[in-house]
Amino acid sequence: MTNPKRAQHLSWRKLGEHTVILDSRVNQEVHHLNEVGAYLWELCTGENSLSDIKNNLVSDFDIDEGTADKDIMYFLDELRTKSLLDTTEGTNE
Amino acid sequence: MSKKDPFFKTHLLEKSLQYAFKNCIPLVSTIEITQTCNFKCSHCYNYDRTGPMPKATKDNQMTKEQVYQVIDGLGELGALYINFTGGEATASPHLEDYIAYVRSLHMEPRLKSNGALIDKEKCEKLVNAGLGGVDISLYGATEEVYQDFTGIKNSLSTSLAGIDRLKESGVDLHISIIIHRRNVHQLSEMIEICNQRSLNFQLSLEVTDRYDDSNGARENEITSEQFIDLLKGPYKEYFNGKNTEKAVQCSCARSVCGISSSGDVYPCIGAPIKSGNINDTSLVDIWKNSKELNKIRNIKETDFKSCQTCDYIESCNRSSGSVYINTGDYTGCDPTIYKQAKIKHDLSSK
Ligand code: SF4
Ligand code: SF4
Repeated sequence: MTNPKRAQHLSWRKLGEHTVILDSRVNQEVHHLNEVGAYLWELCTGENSLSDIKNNLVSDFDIDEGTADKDIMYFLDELRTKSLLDTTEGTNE
Repeated sequence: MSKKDPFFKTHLLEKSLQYAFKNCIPLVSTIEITQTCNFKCSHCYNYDRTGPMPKATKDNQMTKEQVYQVIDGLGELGALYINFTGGEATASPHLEDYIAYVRSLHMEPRLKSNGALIDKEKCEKLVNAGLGGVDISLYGATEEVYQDFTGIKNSLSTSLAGIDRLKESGVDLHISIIIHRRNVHQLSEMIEICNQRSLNFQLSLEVTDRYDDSNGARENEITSEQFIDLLKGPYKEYFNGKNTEKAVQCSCARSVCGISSSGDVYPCIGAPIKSGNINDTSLVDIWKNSKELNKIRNIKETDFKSCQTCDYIESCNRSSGSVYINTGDYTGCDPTIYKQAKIKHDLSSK
């Protein structure tokens, strides 16, 4: 599976615990991430594998691996649906 | 160029702006990257463009490295939108580099332009560099009126060609229709230009004095009679907005910041209160510690003394920056704003 990587042409800012993402390809569409989403988003650099992301989440948020897996899959699915993940590049896990 | 910010305020963006306002994060920042322009607009707020560029303005323009430093500083302070303006921003040979740099820092590079220098090659370069959006000013609907205003032949057709190229490229595009005394009769044609191309537009009546204190810019301001016609005309809904919350404060020095081409830091590009210069102090330091910026942040509603007792406040959409430019008093009132608020109030209560 490819390492998750944020799509190009997005801009984002962390505002407190939340992150706002702008997608100028779609008329300045704005997305919003909560604290966990903001945390995961920072890790979607294309350099972290899914297991790297999971290990980080488990240790920083004190949750079990099963919950972390589910949270990550749900989050990545959401990003894919909104075309916020780069589908062209990425290294293999 | 228009000083207004054109982007849509979605619910989420609105929340972000509120957060930025509360926490003094310059989410929407504007940098003047050049004073050069291909037009000579009579309303231009930079300087009197019928003459040459003042020597000090010319000599003190920021270097490319300084613009990069400013972008770095804005990134550190939490900016999201970086608007490039001028002069005419596309006249800067470094614009594409700046856009790419802003993009590499995950901020949103936008452009304010008159559109006329955006030929096919320029358009491709801007888009490839990662341009997020453009706001083009429209000054009329015929060559004659355009030339009367910009001082340049064929400036309407070159601007429209730029607009059409940008539209075709798919970049987020907005038009600011600048209404003045000698083009107000073409408002419906200007709106038609936007509608034909399915472009979002905003209308601006604002004309301020020039930043170099030269006279003449405000002769372009619409007359009271023209304002009354607008309020009664087919586009009246654009001008009849109410200030029911009686708001008087702007986003200056809180969620917006402006940096002049000479490196002066302003609370907003439309409020040229010199609050430090990046030649002397870093932008981050100025933003956090400037006494001018902190003074503006500490202004309370009750400091707007004349507004507190004004009968027309609900019909007024004052901009503190414009009032400051025209009168020197940030919390004061300006005769034109007062006149227009009164006309609006009187007409709506009839
Ligand atoms: S296009 Fe803008 S910068 Fe150029 S002269 Fe007109 S108002 Fe001034
Ligand atoms: S008209 Fe003048 S005094 Fe009245 S609210 Fe507007 S700016 Fe304030």
